[in-house]
Amino acid sequence: MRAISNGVSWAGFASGPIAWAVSLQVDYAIADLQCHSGFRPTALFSLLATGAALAGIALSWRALRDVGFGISPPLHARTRRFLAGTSVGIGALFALAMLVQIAAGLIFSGCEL
Amino acid sequence: MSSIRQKNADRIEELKGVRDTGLDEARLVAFLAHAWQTPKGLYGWLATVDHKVIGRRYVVTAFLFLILAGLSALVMRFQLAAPEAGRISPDFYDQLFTMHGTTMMFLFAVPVMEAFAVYLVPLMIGTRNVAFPRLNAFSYWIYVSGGIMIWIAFAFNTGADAGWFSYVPLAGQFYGIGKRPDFWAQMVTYTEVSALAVAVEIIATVLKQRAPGMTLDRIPLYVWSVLITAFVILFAMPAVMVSSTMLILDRLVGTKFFDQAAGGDALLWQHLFWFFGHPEVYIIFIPATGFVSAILPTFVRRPVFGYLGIVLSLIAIGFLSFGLWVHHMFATGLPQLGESFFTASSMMIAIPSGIQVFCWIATIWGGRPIFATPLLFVLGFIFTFVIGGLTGVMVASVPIDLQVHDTYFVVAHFHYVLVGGAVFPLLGAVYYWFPKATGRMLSERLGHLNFWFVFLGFNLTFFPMHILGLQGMPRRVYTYPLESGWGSANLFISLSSLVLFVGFALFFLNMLLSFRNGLPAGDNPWGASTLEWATTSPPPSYNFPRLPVVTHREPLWAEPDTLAVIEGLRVDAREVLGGMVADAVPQLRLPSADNSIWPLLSATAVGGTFFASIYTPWAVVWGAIPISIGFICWFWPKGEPEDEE
Repeated sequence: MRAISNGVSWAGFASGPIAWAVSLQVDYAIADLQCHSGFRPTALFSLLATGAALAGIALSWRALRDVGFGISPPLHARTRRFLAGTSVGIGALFALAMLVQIAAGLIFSGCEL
Repeated sequence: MSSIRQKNADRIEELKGVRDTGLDEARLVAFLAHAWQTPKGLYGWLATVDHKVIGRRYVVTAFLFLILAGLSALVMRFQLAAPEAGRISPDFYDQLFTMHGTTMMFLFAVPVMEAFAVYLVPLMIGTRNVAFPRLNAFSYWIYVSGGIMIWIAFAFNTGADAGWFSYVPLAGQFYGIGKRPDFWAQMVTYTEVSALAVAVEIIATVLKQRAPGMTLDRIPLYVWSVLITAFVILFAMPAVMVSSTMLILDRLVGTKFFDQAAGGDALLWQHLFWFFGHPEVYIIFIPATGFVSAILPTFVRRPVFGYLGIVLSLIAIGFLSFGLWVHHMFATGLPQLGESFFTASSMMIAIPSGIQVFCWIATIWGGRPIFATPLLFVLGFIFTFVIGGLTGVMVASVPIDLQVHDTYFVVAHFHYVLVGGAVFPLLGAVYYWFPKATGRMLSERLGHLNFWFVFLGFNLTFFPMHILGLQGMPRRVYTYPLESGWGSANLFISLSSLVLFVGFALFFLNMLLSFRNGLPAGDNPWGASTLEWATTSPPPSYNFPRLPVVTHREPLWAEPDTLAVIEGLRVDAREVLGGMVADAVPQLRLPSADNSIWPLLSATAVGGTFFASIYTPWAVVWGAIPISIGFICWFWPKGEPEDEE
């Protein structure tokens, strides 16, 4: 719970790239299924992954605002702030990349050759 | 009682050896010079583990390979200067373009970037050597033997001829000519072993050996760039090592990894190769952006704008580089939906790249530029790379890529990215750090001439290739018909390549002349802010008499007179300081390996095994014996201070 209240400086750094890497692989793997599935599984999966990235960004944002307490790992406030700022930026960039993947999943039916 | 005895034992351990604490300057330097020296003569030359000696050696070797690859390109341009010319045979042309690409990518661009890291990182983070110094020596010997092997093969008409990415089935067991693809595949193994070794050293050095006080937000941007590059190498290079081994197994042992008829998959090669191949572009480009971020502040006299933005861009580029590989395969008939995800990632990478460009522009905008040669190359880089980046966004789009795939448009694009994006900053970096490495300044007059010849020669050579590509001229053809109408443009390109050649000739001439007769440099000739300029030019074998303590992101500007230092390290044996990853708080003293001949002997055993395995798979079995002996002797405790815990 302390992680939620104080934030986690590296959360966005981890959640953004991991969510993007997983969603890219899964979307690519299930692209063939989209045509006859009746819905847009790639867009849905990218949306879920974007949510995961945003959760990480939120935790890093909390850590950015919370300069008083260092939680795991016990970093100095300045280093923690730097890491949190970097994490928010990286997480946001990868969330944006996944939003573009959602757009691709919505635009293409999956039946195109 | 036993705890008191233990404490006394610990204290004796703590006081072992001579420490720098309170030692006067003359004795300190004498101790350090003795502990860190490279012996004179042939043995010293072969056994040294000094990162500066190995870094310089890497740089010189990489530039020799650049010359070979550049001359190959000139011969190709000689052939293409006129339509239907028969100056060289199609077979020789195939070998030339393959050797050109292979050498530029595997033997020049990646090694030279790693070479700069090997030389500069310990100096920039305030330590005495890289982590795993013997691995560093081993990596050089492996690299140089792989390069020599493939060029000797070329001299015997066995040069690789299936392109730098050696696609199957062209390079497979049915169509690959003689041993040509095998030499290519094994050269890849040599160079990737070498690159992985350097990557491991750089990661360990940056994370654990930074000067006290050099927290994550005080790491020089160049060091950030090579740290991220090292991680990219670590995750990208195994893919090509595995795939090239699979290729050689298909050809030598009869496995069917890529044989479509036997249940293999030719596209698997492309997936594996480009999973490495696209990050490879960033392995070359990311350190180059580090050069830019190091050079710019010095020549505009202000700290770089947007430090955090640049760091997060570097990290984002490192991650994103692994999600773009399919854009090299848009023409292979993959589902459009699947391709679209890679279009998305390919376009997204323009954002962190753009953030960096805008940060650099803002840095120049807010500074007072001094137009010395390094800055000229940086400005040339920004201009050229923006063009290369824009055409990159174009070919990230599937419809455009399908139109220009395998045409000269792509040749123009990747030369703008790789030469503009990496070689221009590299040349700037040579001008910038040559004084530190040699103690002499390069000639500014020749430098300016060098820049303008290279800049104009490059743009005149490669810009018209965009137009040729849009007109439909395919790449990798040894000639073209007279009726195509491409003759005059090709003649113009070939003549322009001579201008580029003169530019590079001036570069090498400047280095040769200045190495002997250049003006003395002094410790910090540019008035720069990072730690490598705090020591002498060239630096002593131990880098710093006392390790510096960092209190600012620009330490030499914040404390121009005297840097704070830390004491307590042993000086009668090789020792470095290990600290915490994030905050660089000192944790322990680490022994650093002494000179040794075993890295060379082990590399000889490994290289011999790689070479012999081109001809027989049994080489792997018999080669394991000398390799094991080499490694056992390398790591066998010898009762030296480095073996102490």
